[in-house]
Amino acid sequence: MNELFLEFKGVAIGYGRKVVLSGINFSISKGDFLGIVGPNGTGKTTLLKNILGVLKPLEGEIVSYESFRIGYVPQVQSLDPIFPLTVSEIVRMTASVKINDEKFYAILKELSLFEFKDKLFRNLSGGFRQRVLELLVLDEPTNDLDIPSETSIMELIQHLNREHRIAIVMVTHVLDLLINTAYEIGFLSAGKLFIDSRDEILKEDKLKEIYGTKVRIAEVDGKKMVVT
Amino acid sequence: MIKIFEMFQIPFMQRALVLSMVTGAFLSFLGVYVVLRRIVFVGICLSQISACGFAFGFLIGFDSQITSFAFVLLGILFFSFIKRMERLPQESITGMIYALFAALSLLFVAKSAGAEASILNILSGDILTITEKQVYMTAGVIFLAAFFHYLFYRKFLFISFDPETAVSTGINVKLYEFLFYFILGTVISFAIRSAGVLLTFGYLAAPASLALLFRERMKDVFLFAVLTGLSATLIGLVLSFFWDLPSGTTIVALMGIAWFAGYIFKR
Repeated sequence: MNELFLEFKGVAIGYGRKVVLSGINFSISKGDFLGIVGPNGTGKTTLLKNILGVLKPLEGEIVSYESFRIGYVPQVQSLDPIFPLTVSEIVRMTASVKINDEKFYAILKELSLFEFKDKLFRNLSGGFRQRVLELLVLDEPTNDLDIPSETSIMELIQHLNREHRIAIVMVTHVLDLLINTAYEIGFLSAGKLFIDSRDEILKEDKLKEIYGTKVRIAEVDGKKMVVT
Repeated sequence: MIKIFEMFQIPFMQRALVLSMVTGAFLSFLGVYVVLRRIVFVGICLSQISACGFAFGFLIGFDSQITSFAFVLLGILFFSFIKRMERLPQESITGMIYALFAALSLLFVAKSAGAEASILNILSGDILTITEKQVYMTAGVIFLAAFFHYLFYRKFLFISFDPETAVSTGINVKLYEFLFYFILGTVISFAIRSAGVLLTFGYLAAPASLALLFRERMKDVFLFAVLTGLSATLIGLVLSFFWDLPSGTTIVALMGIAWFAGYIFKR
């Protein structure tokens, strides 16, 4: 049995009195990879803020079972590039909350990213930030990236999940990014979150139900992709 | 050179030098946060609120340092808990608060019989008339504020750069946000008495803006800003003494010219 980190029990979330999503039930355990897809404005970031504890649920309960180390990679646009901070300064800044630099550097080295540590955050293409954690929450991590960078970020995320068993919750509006990586996929639609295993979600009738139009999954060089 | 040496033999010039160096250095340091957090106008607004508190103290015949501090406290409560409004951008709220307190300051002055000249001196900064007690009090407050900034350097930087991640890592962002504004407001309310609204604002905006043009590492930016504030203060005081110019305004003009030259050079 995997170590349970977080559990949403009949949760409704939103801002003020406005409910954005309701009836949310799911849990996150060590080594999970949950991808969440949905069009803009459906509450993806609001959901992440509830996972992070920035927002409190309007209804229901979010149970946190352990004091696990959680990391958040916000959308690049939400970080202000006028701060002259280097990658390692950002790590040190967060190190006051039990983040292990040594392990972080080891992983950076392993992934040939160590050279970035003294680079200014604003000079990184697309802005890359990563830490050693048990649960990593990512908000549109590949926005504004070119295809090679997108591939390497997705490989990095997958590596952290598969090799280091870091639980991942990743929000994106691109289903393609998740169908080869996430174990579970959640769809946001009409104020509800539908979560199922990747294989269930990728069935054609399920995709049609979600998208309202015929969507197929094709396979090229062993990689699945969405075809409309 | 001898004349400069003689100038600083005069007690009131010594006090002015010590106080303006300490105030200028620390406000220039705080200015880095103010500029990076894009709250420069909150800086001028708090300065104006503090000055208004002074004028109010004179009007009701109460200790104006206390009324000034009370006004700033209300101001920081407002700014640290201000919620984003969908109907109004934040800078228009800041602008309105500034206009309101600038107007109130002038109205309080107009109704303070007899004290008009001395209040106007304070509003525009009167570094040469400060007493020894004021020097010790202001320096004490600034050393305490600097100690807190040293203690919470990482946290203040973290909540300024990425408050959402800071929350997710267990930092009480609201508390540190309030503490940040509390220190900013307290230092402003003490600096206003000697530096006035313009110079206080100048220290908050100019050295940091210049430092960010020329330095690319956080600690270098802080150091460069503090050194800029200190040099402008020293040169400004000397020039104002020999050319009989208002000292605060001279310092602001020097910082402004340095920033403008730097901006043109860097473009």
